Amino acid sequence: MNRALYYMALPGLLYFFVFCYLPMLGVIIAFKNYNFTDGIFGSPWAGFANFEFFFTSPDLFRVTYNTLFLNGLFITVGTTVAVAIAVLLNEIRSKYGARTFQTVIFFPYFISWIVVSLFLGTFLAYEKGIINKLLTGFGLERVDFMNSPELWPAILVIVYLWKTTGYGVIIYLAAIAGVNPEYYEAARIDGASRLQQILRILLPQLRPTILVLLILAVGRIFYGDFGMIYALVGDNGQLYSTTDVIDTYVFRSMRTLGDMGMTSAVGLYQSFMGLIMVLITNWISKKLSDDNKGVLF
Amino acid sequence: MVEHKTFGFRLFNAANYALFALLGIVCLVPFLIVLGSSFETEQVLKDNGFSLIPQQFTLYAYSTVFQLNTVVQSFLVSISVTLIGTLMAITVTALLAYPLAQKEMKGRGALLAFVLLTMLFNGGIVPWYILISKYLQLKDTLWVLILPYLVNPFNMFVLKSFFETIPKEIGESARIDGAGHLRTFLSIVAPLSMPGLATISLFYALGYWNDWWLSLNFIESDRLVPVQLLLKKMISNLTFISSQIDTSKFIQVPANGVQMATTIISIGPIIAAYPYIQRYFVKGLTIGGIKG
Amino acid sequence: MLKRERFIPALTLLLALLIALAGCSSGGGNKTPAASSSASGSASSSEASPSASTEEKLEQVELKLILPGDKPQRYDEVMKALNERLTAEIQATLNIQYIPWDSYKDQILVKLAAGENFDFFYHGWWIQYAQVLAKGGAMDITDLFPKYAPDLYEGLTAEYVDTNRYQEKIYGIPVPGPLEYPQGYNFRADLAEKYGYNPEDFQTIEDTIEFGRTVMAADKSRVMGRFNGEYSGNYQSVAFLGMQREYIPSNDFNSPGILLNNEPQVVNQFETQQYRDFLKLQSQVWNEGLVDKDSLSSKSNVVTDANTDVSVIGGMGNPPEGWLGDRTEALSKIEAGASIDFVFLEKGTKMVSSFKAGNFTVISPASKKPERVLMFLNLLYKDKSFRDLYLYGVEGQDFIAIGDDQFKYPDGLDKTNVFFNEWWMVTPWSNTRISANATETDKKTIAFLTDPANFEKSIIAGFEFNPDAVKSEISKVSAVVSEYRKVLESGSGSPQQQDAKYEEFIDKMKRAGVDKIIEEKQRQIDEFLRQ
Repeated sequence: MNRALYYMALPGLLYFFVFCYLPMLGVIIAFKNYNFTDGIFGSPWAGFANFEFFFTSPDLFRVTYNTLFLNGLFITVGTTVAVAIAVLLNEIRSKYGARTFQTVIFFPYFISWIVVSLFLGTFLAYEKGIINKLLTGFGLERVDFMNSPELWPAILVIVYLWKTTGYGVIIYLAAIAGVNPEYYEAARIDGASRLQQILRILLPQLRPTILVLLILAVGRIFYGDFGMIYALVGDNGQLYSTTDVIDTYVFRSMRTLGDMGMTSAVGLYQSFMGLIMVLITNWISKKLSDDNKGVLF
Repeated sequence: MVEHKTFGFRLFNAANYALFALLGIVCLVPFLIVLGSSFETEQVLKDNGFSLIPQQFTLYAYSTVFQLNTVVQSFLVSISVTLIGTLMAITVTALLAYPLAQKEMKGRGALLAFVLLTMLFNGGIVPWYILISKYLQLKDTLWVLILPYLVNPFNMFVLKSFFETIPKEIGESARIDGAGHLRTFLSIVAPLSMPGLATISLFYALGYWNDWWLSLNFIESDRLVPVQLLLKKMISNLTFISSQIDTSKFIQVPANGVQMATTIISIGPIIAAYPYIQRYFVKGLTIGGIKG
Repeated sequence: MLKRERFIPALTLLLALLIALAGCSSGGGNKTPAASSSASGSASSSEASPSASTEEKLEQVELKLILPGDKPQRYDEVMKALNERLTAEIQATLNIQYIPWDSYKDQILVKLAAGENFDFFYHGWWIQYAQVLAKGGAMDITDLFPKYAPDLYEGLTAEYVDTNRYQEKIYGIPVPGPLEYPQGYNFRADLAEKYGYNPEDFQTIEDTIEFGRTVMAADKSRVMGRFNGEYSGNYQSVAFLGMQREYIPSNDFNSPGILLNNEPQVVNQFETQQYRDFLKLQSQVWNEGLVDKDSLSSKSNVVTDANTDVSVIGGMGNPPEGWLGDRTEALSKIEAGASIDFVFLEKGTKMVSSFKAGNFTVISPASKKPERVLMFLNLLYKDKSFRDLYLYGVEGQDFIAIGDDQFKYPDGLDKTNVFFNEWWMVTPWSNTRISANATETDKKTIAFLTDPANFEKSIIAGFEFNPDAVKSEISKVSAVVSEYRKVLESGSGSPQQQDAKYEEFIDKMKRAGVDKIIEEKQRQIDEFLRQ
């Protein structure tokens, strides 16, 4: 009977083999001095030369720290907020109200980072920015946002939340909808308040979903959100001390030479570290779980 | 469910509504600003940055977009790719996620690792491009806009976790009655997982609708250019033109306005379709009653 | 199951769409006709007379060109006419694929890596042509070029082509524009007149700043200067004004290591006194409030601003290439009477030049018909009516010819609704038409910039820096320079902040290995000069 399961899984597995594993062979470019004439397999080996620029860079520590720190913030704050909003949204009695709110929260997702950066500009400008206009209106000092790197982790988190919470909320709402209402019923009969129902029934039921999303996010923790950071921070070197991540750094270094081998090398490093993070997190979740089963395996 | 309408309950309710009203505004207003700016003249946009309510109403940004005689064709392409792609993707993904959600499946761990690794490791653009254009010969076909995104590992894992919340007993009782795995999945598990399936379908739909990367790389013919690539090309071109020096007439290149207009145009169909999809999210509650 | 019931009609609709589109894709998509894939095309054409005399008919082929940008309007009509001419002349048709600017650089690399079937493409130093060369993305046409494009070769002169060789061979065909860019001051001529300034009054950079102060004091709505989204620093316009300077590689202002006064001593320009003085000047201008501070984070671009910004008084920059008249027209529409003029600020100094081109037409290594491509480029060079067709479209509909070398757009039309192609991707500047609005200043500067007699030949003419030994250092330093240049050179912050940042900049560059780069450049130049 198990065979039926394998047949079902076959198309998907075939897809991964063709579109993911075959191209994955190209990872060896990281160790090669690649040129077009010899191709991926014929180009001469370069050992670890392509990794050198990144690991001897004066900014190595800074970009690594920023990547992990910012991603850590995004993951923790993002998950908490998305779960909280999903739970609260579920408590809205009016069906239309709930649906409307759910739709509206999703709108920012559609606005591209480039347009967002234009918005942010009008908000944060020193002389004519909206925030500074408000501040001076109340008699307070202007804030030079574009020159204050210490403010930017917070700014980035806020903007990130605004744009991506809708996405997470949808997933958690679907998970909430899947919880058997009889569980609530049983708890209510036992005299539990709504709050207790949420804490004791709902959240534990959500735990698997939350953990899966967490661990998948952790696997990408060495990949900075290039699209967002490049659009919002751009060429403003003043802000790099807190916002320069591995991906933006590599992009900037490759502007002159643009060597494919070097880009590939850093990418391989990010992948490898991500794998280690996943294994560690999975192991931790295994140890903490009751049935010695990790989140993924 | 009968609730005791305590004062605390009412307060909480009110606070909840207030919170969402606030959040709604924070999320809606920027969108309205984009909408308003798309109808604003370029000069005003340059001076003020944005307009919530257009000072000088104009359809110039939109007409610039729709002047392109391939707009209709692009919408056709985008809609087809989104519909067909989503259908195929959700099918293949679900057919993969379900077995992986069954604890008794042998080699499950290995297969999960197999899929997970594709999320972590990437060979880069060059081998992927060579594979698709040279070996699979998919250039300039409709399929090249669909197949490369057929299964998203993230979506697969999320869907799998939804399947895992379905109590084992349901599946077991069906199989004791003689139903095969596929049958069990189609007639029992799938309907119970409607919220999950709907959610992941939405994600695939958005992915296909928003994508311009596949067509940028693999589509040369005008007939297969989807909306997003069309808009992106136009913006890139306008930005470039406005950076060029030989404008013998004063060109009111509506670069900013067009950015706004294109945002609205690309969201339009999604927003139109969203209410239809939404009902599937809430459906689970009633069907959930069948459980147990 | 509700979902299933809705499926059937939806599926039918989908199937219909699918069939319709599949039909479209197989029919209209593939643009390579069978003729081009026949290998006999190249064999016969290499025997055929390169002057394409009409007695010998060559095999009909299709040439595929990849250019950055977007497909221009009326592409089909104009290309039809163009291909009729091309077929008659050299039995070829041209098919151009346009790739959006922001993806062009990466797409070309990917297509070259995949060995895709196209014949030639545009490339330039500023999008890393060096990479294309180093990785083998260009065909060696040393022997083919003079043979199959003799007029173009002679027009460019062997000497010019030779200074653009790579490792002794000819790869890309250089497309000459202005030879170098002596710096000058673009300014509002009407404001100058109003406040009693003549163009001759602008001799030094301090003069221009004084002018800015005067106007700003009298008119609060004006600002001396403004930044834009493309600003990444401007030391190259001011710091070494009046000195001979040569960047290595040419046009790369971010690369530390330049030559000054045509002496063979490689200098890190960021550590010179001139650079430090320049930073002080910028800081003074910033803190005096002469520039619009918020514009530092602007996202607009140079030309949009130039055509629409009436509050700015002037700015340092490159000489005009025919646009003074257009810009004046654009601005005067917003503020009546506005006009733009330009003065050179480096009078009396001859700029040094290696006569290196910034733009190239490159033949792809996978091309089977390089001879035919060269014949096309040759035709483009020597045949005016053919060239007009390629660059400007159909006379009367897309443009109106004014004399031999100027043009204007028909009434009611502009660049966005007619056919056009950029000259600087395929044919020398001297071969093009300038705008009918070009002023006398425009014409004079163009004449000046294209005459080699106005430039002193560099001692390293013909030299090509090979970055292989210091690839890692270049990447690291490049990241540092990008991070600091804009902030430092805009003059932002207090003088103390700028000083601190400057020290930081130098320190980081050193730690990134900048000295190794300077040494390597010096070593290669010494070796080159020994020969």
